[in-house]
Amino acid sequence: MVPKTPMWTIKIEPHYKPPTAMPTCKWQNVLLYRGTDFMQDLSALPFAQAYKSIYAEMSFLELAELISELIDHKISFEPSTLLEAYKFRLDAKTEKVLLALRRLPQDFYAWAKLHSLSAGDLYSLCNLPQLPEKALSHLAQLKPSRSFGIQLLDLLVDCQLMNLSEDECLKQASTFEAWRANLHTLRFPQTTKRDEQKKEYLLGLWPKSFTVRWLRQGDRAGVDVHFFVSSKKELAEKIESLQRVHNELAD
Amino acid sequence: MNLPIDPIKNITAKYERIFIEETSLPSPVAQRILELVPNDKITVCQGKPDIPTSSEFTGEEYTRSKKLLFITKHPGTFFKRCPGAKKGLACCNYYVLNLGLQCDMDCSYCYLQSFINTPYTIVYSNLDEALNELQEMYDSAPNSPVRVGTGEVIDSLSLDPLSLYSRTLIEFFRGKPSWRLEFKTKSAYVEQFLDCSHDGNVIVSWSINPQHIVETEEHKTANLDERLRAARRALDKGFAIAFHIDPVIWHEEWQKNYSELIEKITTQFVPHEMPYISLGSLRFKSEQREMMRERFGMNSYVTRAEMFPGAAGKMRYDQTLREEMFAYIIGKFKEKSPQWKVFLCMETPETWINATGDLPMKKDDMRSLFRPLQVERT
Repeated sequence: MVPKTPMWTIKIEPHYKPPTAMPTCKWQNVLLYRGTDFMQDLSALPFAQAYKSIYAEMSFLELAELISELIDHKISFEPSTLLEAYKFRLDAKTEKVLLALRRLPQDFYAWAKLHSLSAGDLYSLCNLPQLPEKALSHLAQLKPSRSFGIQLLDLLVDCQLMNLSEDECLKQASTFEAWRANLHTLRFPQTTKRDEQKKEYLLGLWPKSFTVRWLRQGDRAGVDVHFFVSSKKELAEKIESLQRVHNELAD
Repeated sequence: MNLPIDPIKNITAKYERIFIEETSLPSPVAQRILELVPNDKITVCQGKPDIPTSSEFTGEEYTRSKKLLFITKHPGTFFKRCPGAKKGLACCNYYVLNLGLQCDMDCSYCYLQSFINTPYTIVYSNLDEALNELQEMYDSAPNSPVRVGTGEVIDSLSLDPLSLYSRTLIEFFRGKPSWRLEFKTKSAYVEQFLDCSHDGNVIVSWSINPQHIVETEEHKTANLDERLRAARRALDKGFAIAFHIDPVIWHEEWQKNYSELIEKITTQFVPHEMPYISLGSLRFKSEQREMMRERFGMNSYVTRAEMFPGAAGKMRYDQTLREEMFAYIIGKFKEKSPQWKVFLCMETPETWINATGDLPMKKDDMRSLFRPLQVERT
């Protein structure tokens, strides 16, 4: 029979769902999974093996949450074996991330879990003496995609390590794009200044019949120029205009 | 040979433990270590020393790898083409002979941080096999202007007072005039080979930077003046010398500091005393950022640098800034004398043109360095 009030139920709900016909499973005094009315006792197995027999897949962050829960409830288990069961390795790097994760704001943790961030994606947070909790929560609230979120996190960590205050880092942060632009300016002040000067100069050179857009492509910044012609005459005019721009362009 | 004791002491002091793989025991390098290093620092082991590490190194693990030394045989190929030999980069026929792995010095920008995953510094004990490979390569291209460098994944000379590999290599290159041996170092250790006779085809090169950058970014290296004095000593003994001003690092006072560096070089040396000076700007793989940030924080010109994805998948300064710095440095040399041969290392053709006016193949003083090889090892 399934006990109505188990001593303790694991709260984490992994993304992986076991088959519906799975019996209810317990391990020692822990209810691992509530399934059919039939109760299976997995206490004879090591914890990692018992858990893996129910949840075939776990992300790193789900495992981190599980480990955290087990530690909080003083359950005797081997974290390295549990991680290895899911092809993760407990090494110095993972250990540092596991410790940092315990301090993360809940909403950021949920966002990171949703996007299956890895230990490597979050490792930069371990370099911070203090987590920018407000900023991390704000990031989660903006609901960025995985890659945009990681980009923003990287900029945020850089800015924090540059001793910029969290409040300064949170200026102009109402939208993802605006926030990223502001963090970029804080992180790359010299380039921003240079780009602004170059942009103003370069954009001012072109006649209105050209569509001109300022672009940074990696380590190069310049203009993307488009024009339309429908006759040889128009092309000649454009070439003449191009020549004028060429002549005006400083070396 | 008798050497001043200090280099050996200095080198030994950097290591907490020296492991010697037992099959390497008969090698000259192992024998020399057994003779010169206190026994309580040495462990003879079967296979690799058992040192637990993360699959991806933490900063602490990387730093620890500089404090353990492992003497072992190299199981693979010693001879490799320089990483600059890639599509999209102008390269200079440089070949790499790896005689070890990891460095006892600790530059913040060091590219070894992007790929080292061995928990110790390695010095290969089977130099004889490396020389066999070199001989085979030489037999297939005896007349090609091949440059062989030993300083890509380990400094050529910083451990040399202990290994004395320079002496064996110099001897090997004797009688091979079209080939050049290039040592590349940030140390000042040259005394151990200055008495070796050679055919004038050995270049001892120093990676140099203004003293301010040495102090802030090139930790545990010889200071600028020591490097320049060592270069003078080598030159006076008939060795060719070269300087690599690499990486050029932007900082507020860069113009003043690089001017002073050029002033020092041009007052202590004359152009005909060195075949070239190479210039390269700060660059690193993006994967390396995390390690640098962890190890050096953001109070470094390197971690704080404003870098963007550039050629060959590396992070680089904005191209305009690179061109400005290169043009400034080249201009300063040319102001002193047009005879100075300065070339750019690992740069795109666009940067060559914008900083120097043309591609290296079209410049009279550079052409010989960039002539493609007739025979290439695959």
